[in-house]
Amino acid sequence: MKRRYAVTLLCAAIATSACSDAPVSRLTEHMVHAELERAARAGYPARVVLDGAPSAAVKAGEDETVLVLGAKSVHVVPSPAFAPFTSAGFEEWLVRVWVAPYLAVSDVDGAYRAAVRGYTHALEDQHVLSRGAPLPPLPSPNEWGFTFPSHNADWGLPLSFVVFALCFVVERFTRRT
Amino acid sequence: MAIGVDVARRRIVARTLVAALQLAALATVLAFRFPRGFALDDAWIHQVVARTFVETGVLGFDPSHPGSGATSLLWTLLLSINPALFHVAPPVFTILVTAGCLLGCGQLIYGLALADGLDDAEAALVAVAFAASGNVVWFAASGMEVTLVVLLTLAALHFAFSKASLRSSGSAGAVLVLLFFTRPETILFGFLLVLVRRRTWREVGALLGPVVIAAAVYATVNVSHTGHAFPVTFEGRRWLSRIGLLGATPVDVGWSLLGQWFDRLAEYTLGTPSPLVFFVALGLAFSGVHRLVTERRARLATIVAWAVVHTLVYVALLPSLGHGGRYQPFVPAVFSVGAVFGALRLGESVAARAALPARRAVAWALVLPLVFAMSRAVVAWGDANTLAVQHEDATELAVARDVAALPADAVVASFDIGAIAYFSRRPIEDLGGLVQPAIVPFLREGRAVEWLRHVKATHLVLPLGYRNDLPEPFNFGDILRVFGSSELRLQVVADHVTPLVSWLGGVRATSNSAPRQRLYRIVWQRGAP
Repeated sequence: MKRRYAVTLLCAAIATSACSDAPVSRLTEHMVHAELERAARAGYPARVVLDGAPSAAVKAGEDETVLVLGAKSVHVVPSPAFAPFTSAGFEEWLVRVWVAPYLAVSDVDGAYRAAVRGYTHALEDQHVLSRGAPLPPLPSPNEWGFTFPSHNADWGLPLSFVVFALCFVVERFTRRT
Repeated sequence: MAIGVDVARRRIVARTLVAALQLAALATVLAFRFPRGFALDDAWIHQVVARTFVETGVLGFDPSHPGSGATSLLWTLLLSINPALFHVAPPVFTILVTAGCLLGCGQLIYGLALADGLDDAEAALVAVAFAASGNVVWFAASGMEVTLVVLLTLAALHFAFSKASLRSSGSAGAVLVLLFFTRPETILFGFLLVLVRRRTWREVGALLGPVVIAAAVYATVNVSHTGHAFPVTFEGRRWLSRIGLLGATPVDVGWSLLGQWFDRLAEYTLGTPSPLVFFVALGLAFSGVHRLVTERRARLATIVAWAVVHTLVYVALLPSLGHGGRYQPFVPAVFSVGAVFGALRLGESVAARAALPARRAVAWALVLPLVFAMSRAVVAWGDANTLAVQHEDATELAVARDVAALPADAVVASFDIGAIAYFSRRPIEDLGGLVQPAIVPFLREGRAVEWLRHVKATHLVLPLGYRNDLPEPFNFGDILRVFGSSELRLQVVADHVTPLVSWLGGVRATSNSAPRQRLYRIVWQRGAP
């Protein structure tokens, strides 16, 4: 009996710890990492930071370009190598073409991926990066406000385990009495 | 004697009720008329293979590449009966076959639940939850092999759990062979059947021997034709499923698929996108599955185990749900069964001290809201399927007519090859890796243009999104790296697009195809190939 309870609680704990309510999913972080590595190999390293995060305190002149993603816009702190791009209006273009559709629906995860794709796309356009293997398509912005239960798994899965545990306890209780 | 007659009559009533509810659900999904088309382009690929088989004797999309285009050989063989004998409209013939399979699933699962010791009402509830829930019923309307896969799986399970004998193991083994030729990955189901019930070595041999031999022959034939043991279509579909997951870890892939299933189960099996309702129902489903296991309902528990194993196989090999969840058809079925069974047992536990009628009333009172919600999902599938078929007709079939009108010497390459090949009645160069595995390295490395040059393509049909300047999920010009290539210039010949609202209504449920199909003439920039 105790062992079963322990197993149930363990399952719930695993489910809770595996889910996260962070604005950027682990999947996105990993995908973006792979994409930015390609740019870094070409001599244009970059990273994305969320505005307000401790890592967002960056200064111009660093070796890597930093895309600071805010709730409404993106601020680009270029590396010396990337500075010509920003002088040519990269930041405005990045926001308008790539990031704005996601930020308009408060989709930070999508905006994060779009910002990186805009960055690598700009490098490809200028033939700094070769147009190699296909890259993952970006998710469509959720303009229609559809509800996705998977976006609520951080509290939803623990709720499922609570319901499961409740059923289990009720059954045990009635069997004993 | 009278008791026996009563039981038999009750069971006939229960079986009739299950079948009637399934037919009502299927009629709702089909909008109460015989289908005039398919929601999925892949369904037309099967029809092309069936027609090619009747005309040339080669079971393949391209007569020069046996086995190409479709993985499900048994399904295409069944479909070929129509062009060989009946010549009725393919969607009508197909729905008659799949409706038969669906009804068979309902009857088999009812029988399995009874054999597991459930009473008539519980068995009927399980059968309806399994085989009349929205997503499962839509599989029958999709024109694909899915319902046959479910039917054969249940049939194999039925024989495998029959009275232990060489004959029943042999029958299960024969069904497993049919199942293998419907979906090759289901060979693992045979191994699961060996694990869940103790047998003599001879019985194990009778159960697994035929399917292992069939798999060896199949792999040998594949190697001789293509150099790969896996089906011809596998590499192409694998490339497509992996392209959206570049950089993802195996755990990411697993969570991504799980998340997609959460969204799909909520809206298209439970009938509501509400996270609160869904996660409560998921908790009930966990409880229902737990009760099936602890009550030793071996047959139903085996189906649950198979749903898990089958899904994990896809996570490892082909991380995709497929159109409308068709790759893992047991997931929605098991979710439905688990949820209603969990609710039923919870109700019985809550009212355990009450008299039997009151206890049952409480139990069914908990089940009914779930059944009501799930019936809403069936209605939603009706709307979605109608819109998806209209979209298919307005884009894929329309561009097929344009392709048919091209000069006889035109060489047409297309990513979607089903309806275009069926209705244009001309050879189509496949850009999705379903016909020739040799193209897949080109796709993977972004060198599709080289392949177009290799096949001397003069025209190109691409699925596209509403905007071509963004790498949207349906922008195949970007995915194939055709857009922006300095090798060719693309001139638009025809363009067919479905308005956003109609397209969304169909694609969210069926994941059928891009909103736009565009036919281009290729102008080669460095001399014609």
